[in-house]
Amino acid sequence: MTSDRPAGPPPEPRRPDGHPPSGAAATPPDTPIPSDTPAPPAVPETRTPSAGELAPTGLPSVAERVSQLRARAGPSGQPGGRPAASRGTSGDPPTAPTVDLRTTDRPAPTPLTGPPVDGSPAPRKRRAARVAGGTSPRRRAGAGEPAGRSSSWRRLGGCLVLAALAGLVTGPSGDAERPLDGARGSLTGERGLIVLALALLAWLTLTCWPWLRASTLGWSRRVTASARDWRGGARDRSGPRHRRARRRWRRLAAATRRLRGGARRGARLVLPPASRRRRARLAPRRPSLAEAAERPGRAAAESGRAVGEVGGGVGGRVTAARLDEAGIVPPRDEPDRTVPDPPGQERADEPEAVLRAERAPDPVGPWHRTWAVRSKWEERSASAVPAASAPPAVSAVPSAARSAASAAPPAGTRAARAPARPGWWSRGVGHALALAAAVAAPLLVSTAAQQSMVNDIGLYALLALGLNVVVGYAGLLDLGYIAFFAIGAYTTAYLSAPDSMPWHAPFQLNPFLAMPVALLAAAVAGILLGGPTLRLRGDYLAIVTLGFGEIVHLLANNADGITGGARGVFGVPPLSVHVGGFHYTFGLDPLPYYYLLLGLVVLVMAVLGVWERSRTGRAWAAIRQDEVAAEATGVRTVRMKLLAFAIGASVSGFAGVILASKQFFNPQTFGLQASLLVLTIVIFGGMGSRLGVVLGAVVLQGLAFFLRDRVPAADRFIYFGALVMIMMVFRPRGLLAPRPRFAGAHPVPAWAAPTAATGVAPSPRSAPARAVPPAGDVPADQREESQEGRAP
Amino acid sequence: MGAPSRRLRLLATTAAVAAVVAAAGCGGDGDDASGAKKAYAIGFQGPLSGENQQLGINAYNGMLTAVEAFNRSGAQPFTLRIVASDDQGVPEQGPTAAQKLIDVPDVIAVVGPVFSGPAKSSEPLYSQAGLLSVSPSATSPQLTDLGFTSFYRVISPDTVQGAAAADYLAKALKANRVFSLDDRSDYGVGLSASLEKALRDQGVTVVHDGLNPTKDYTSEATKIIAAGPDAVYYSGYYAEFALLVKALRGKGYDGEILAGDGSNDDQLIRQAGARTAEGVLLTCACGDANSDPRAASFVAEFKRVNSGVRPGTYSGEAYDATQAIISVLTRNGATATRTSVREGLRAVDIPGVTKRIKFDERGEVSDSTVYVYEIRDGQRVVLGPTSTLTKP
Amino acid sequence: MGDPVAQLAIDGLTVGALYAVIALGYTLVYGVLQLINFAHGEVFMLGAFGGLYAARGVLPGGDGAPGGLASVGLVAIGIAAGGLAGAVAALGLERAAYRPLRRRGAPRLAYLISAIGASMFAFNLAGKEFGRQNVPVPDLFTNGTLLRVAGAEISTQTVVIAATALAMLLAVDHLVSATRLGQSIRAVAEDAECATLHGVDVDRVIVAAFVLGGMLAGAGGFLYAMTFNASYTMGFVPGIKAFTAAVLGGIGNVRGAVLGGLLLGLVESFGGYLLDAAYKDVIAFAVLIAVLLVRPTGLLGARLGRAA
Repeated sequence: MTSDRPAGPPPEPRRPDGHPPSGAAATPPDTPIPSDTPAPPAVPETRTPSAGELAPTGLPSVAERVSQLRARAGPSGQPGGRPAASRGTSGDPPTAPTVDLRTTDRPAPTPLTGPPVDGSPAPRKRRAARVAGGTSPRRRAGAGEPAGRSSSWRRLGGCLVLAALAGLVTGPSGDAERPLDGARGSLTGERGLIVLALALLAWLTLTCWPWLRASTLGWSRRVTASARDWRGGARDRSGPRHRRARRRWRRLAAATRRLRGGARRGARLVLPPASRRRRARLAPRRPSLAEAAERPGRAAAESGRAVGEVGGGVGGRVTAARLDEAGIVPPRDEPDRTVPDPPGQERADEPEAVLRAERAPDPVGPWHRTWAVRSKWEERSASAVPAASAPPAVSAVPSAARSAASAAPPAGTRAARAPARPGWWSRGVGHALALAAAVAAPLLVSTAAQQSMVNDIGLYALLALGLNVVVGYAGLLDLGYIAFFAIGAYTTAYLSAPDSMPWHAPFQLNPFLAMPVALLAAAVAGILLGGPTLRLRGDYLAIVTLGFGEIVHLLANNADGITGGARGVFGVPPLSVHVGGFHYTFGLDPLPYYYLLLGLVVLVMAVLGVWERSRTGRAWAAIRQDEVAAEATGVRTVRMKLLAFAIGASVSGFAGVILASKQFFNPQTFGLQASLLVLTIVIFGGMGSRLGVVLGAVVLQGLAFFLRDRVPAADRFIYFGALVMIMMVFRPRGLLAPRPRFAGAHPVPAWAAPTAATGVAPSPRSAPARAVPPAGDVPADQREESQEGRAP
Repeated sequence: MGAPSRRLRLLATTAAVAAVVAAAGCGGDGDDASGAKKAYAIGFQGPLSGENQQLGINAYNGMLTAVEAFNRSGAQPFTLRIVASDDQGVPEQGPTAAQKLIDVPDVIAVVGPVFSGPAKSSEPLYSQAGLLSVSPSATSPQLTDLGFTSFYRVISPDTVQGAAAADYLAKALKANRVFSLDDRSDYGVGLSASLEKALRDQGVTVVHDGLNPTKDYTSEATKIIAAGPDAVYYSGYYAEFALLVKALRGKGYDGEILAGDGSNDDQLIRQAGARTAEGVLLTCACGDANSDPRAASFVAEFKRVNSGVRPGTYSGEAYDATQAIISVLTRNGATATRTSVREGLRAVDIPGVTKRIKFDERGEVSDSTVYVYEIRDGQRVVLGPTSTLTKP
Repeated sequence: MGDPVAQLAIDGLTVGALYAVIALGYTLVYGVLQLINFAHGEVFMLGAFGGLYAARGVLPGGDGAPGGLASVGLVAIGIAAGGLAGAVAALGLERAAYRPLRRRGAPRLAYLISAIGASMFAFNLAGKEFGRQNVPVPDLFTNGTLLRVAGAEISTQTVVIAATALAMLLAVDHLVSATRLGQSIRAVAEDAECATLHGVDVDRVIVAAFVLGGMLAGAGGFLYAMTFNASYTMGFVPGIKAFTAAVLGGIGNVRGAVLGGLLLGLVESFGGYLLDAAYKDVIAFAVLIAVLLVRPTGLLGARLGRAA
């Protein structure tokens, strides 16, 4: 096909991952750079974006493409996968869309991964050595990063700053009288040397990582390959020993095949759900519009499938073995331009190959052809990713289909697998384990820890569950949430304690009985807050809720005649149960409160779960994703938003009752920082996921408590803040991101959408970094994010 | 670089964070019992961090002096150590700090809480746990009325201080109009209430206002100046008082500015500036050990133990509280328990460095003198007890 | 002492000018990134400490305030050092807390939480290093009544703060409306993609917005510390108030931030006098909510592009 194309970047579709160069375009058009121009070898290493370079519209620029290619060529330990600028103009063309039958002057059984580095034939071993381990780390590192030098300095600066900060954080404290004493103690002398050494070590590791990884990876690949060689006897199979071995293998393979087939048939009879699930998982998933749009088309895919059927597993094994024999490690994300062995030679040697061949030609249902075809072998090939083994069934395949396939798996595989969750029972097991741990935990810790577990973890978990409804389900950013907590607490004090607050009810209720009233009061407050904010969009809603929260806080603090002001409320009678003959009063012991809170948390989680799956929950999801569209399709946004506020507020009021009846409280507890803390817990734990927010409360508050005795008490919030920042950088979805419940949808409101979709465009330096990860490495949530950026 | 480096970065960061935390934690405090003697622990609860930490630090240093002196003397069959718990001076941290001390089984008594707010919120726990708490400085009058079985204090309540301050204002300063501002804390409200009551009994016009601790006293200063008082009395702590003084003097107020014992600290001079704080008067039911010839040995001992730092407000009181506990322990010998110590405190009668320590059934000390301080040339100078100053 | 209206007005405008200076930082960052920079209060605080230690370094004597020109010089040094510290802090914040999120295309809420985390980290670290008490700025000038206008006493401090804040506000207004950098900022605020098509380096503009906001906040922090003493938690309340002021005027709008700040200062001053002083914050927020209900985009509207 394009075998006579000069060295130039290949067309778009054969990029091994699914990502377009800039994160925004869903459809990278098939626009190769003019094929007559060689790739510019002298691309400046440091680039700053200039006009026209940034291509949120989807057209990659020259420099971008070059850097992508370099990046692809870079870290996987193999040399010129793509004829990139680093090689200059080599005589041999790249090969993208075809199987590269080109070899050098050696006979067929010596496959190479690509054109020789310098265009001239070289002894296999030497070239292999150079190719596999010989390229300098700098070259490889440089190939992976277009701006190698200055970013290396920047990395050094960053490492130094981070190490210095870490030194400051763990060092002695300073004092106003002797300012920076702490800094002087932390960063000078011995500690300073340690800090410096750590910084240099980190920088070295980061800089040399590609080389380290390549060498270890190459080594591990070689080891695995040679192990496989030994097992499969791929080296020289002409001798009588091997013939016998082959015969044995053939028999074994046939027997295994029969056994497996029988087992499968039997399993199908006995356990229908399992096989149905597996079939569902393995069957090509109906891909979303976005994914389909980036497929090159039916024909290529179908032809790919056809060839796959024929070729089966034949070439794959052998080529891998051959490659390893040559010491050449094929890249994961490269199509293997390898020669398939003459048929019949190694057919039945490897049972796996045989079985794969058998599995490959499963028919693809006709209904899937409408969108795009992605055969099972493609899926499995991408999913069986351990780098050492070449994708088992990938072989002599038209590269268009291969690229289609390789374009598909990263975007499709994980997403294809995503809906195939483990069964409901496994989720239940997980929850049961968590519950058991929660029940057993306080018995293993001291009373002070129990006290903290109740106050910090328990109450905040309940609060987080409530805020989850407002922020996670309905997508309304509420910064004044703690006000409802205050309202619940003060209402309880009003109703059940005649002498703890200047203002009190003429009657006295048991706090348990005050609960519904407090719930109602908080819900009414929620509606009062929600009402005026209905027509405010994202950030303004945040401000107004913040203002409301602060108003409640300040009123509580200053209305001495009503709330007792800053002195707080003291002496609310504790919860007590007098039912029939059963009398129990909660005392100062935190353990009963803990179990009460645990029960409440479980109850609230169950109730909210039911609500989430109901029509109301779907309405909330619609509002969250696009309010205008929701309103247009008949969702009563006003009612639903008010309901969300009300429910969130009432959960908070619930927690307020427990707080009031348990201990002294004063308005300090209800400040803006508490609101922000609850919001942080919700986002940290996973906005929209109930267990996630509870887990977030456990982790964050537990960290604060855990550090109480290990670091100076006032310093623990430094670690807290650092942890939150790190979490947001590396896992912005939170600990347990919620499962996407609706097809193609992810519970993120428009204003919380990733910023790639907004006006802030990333620089091209970042684009390749995001665009090139080899299949299987980018975690699913990252992929979902970028999917979401493309989702309508 | 993409995914590999991202994962690596995550791993490296996690490892770094874990290493950092472990390293930080490795420098933990280790308490060791000394030798073969029984080791008791006395707890301390007070503001060791936070805006008004100096008062807590003063009390802690006083306590430390007593404990060090005792351990050095070695006459008894037990040694003492201190377990400190920081409540930051705010009431909502009180229960947590108290629980921390209650949980340490070695702790048989507590010196603290230093501030009235945390005292009010912690005492229920102490009473329930039966752990004695002797406060050097919690002056809110209601603390001894709430029925806590574990609360004693070695300082007079604010009823005494308020009355003495009113006396001084009316008779010595001859003020006809006084503006009384408090910080709405337990302490502030108690002190201002007793002050105003006593002032009204003396026939002085009082204007009251309450303002939560803040940084911006500009409009409050305008309000005060607009009311035209002869003297301003602030019932609160020194950090806010310094700002109030700056604001008042900045607006050209030249009447008298006074405050209670919570503002009585050298930090006030530092934070307001020596020039601005010139002439500010302070009342306190605590004596100044530095200028008391009878407390010279205590001052010397204090400086020795605390690297040359002079005793501050409440240092003497904390010293006395610790001495009271030590006297009970001495009587019990090596068989002291929390219960025995709590019950034994009633019988204490020792001469302290600030006053005679003898408790009544409510937990108050009987002796009470209120002193007046003045800030002169950047120093806090004791003018004398109010009784002397108000003599005609 | 007569009618304090003039006094309250002067006080309100002075404090309002400080709020306006800080609010500009919020506005600029919001304009280019659509991001509420919750950690801006900590930039303010770090700038205050920077200026404070610079002043202490130059004037270690502690008590003797030189008069005349030396005082002016000292104040200038303090403000410059504060601005520098604030700029460095803002720069560090942008690189550490926001840029990694931008590179990864994180959802907007992640920025908010990262800002909260950065704020927690920064102010606790400052507390650890600088102590947790209030730290006074040494007297750089003798603070006495300078003028008497309509029954109001204007102190030297008031004049210093007002003059400096006014100068900074005018400078920023000029910068945003009449210089190339300001044009770039406005362009990016309007539409970042189109701005790149015109050759604007978005990354650099974002950094510039942060640095500018940080300089202002740092200088404002030093001025604030001169009056109210510095402490590690000093950034929280003025941060919220300045944020309120920015929203009041229309977030993203430079002139709106100025107007919002001054207005907020006046409301606080008069509200605190007329009602219980404690309620002045309540009044401020109530005014904010009222304005937003009536005019959801703030008083002057929300577009940075419209600032000039």
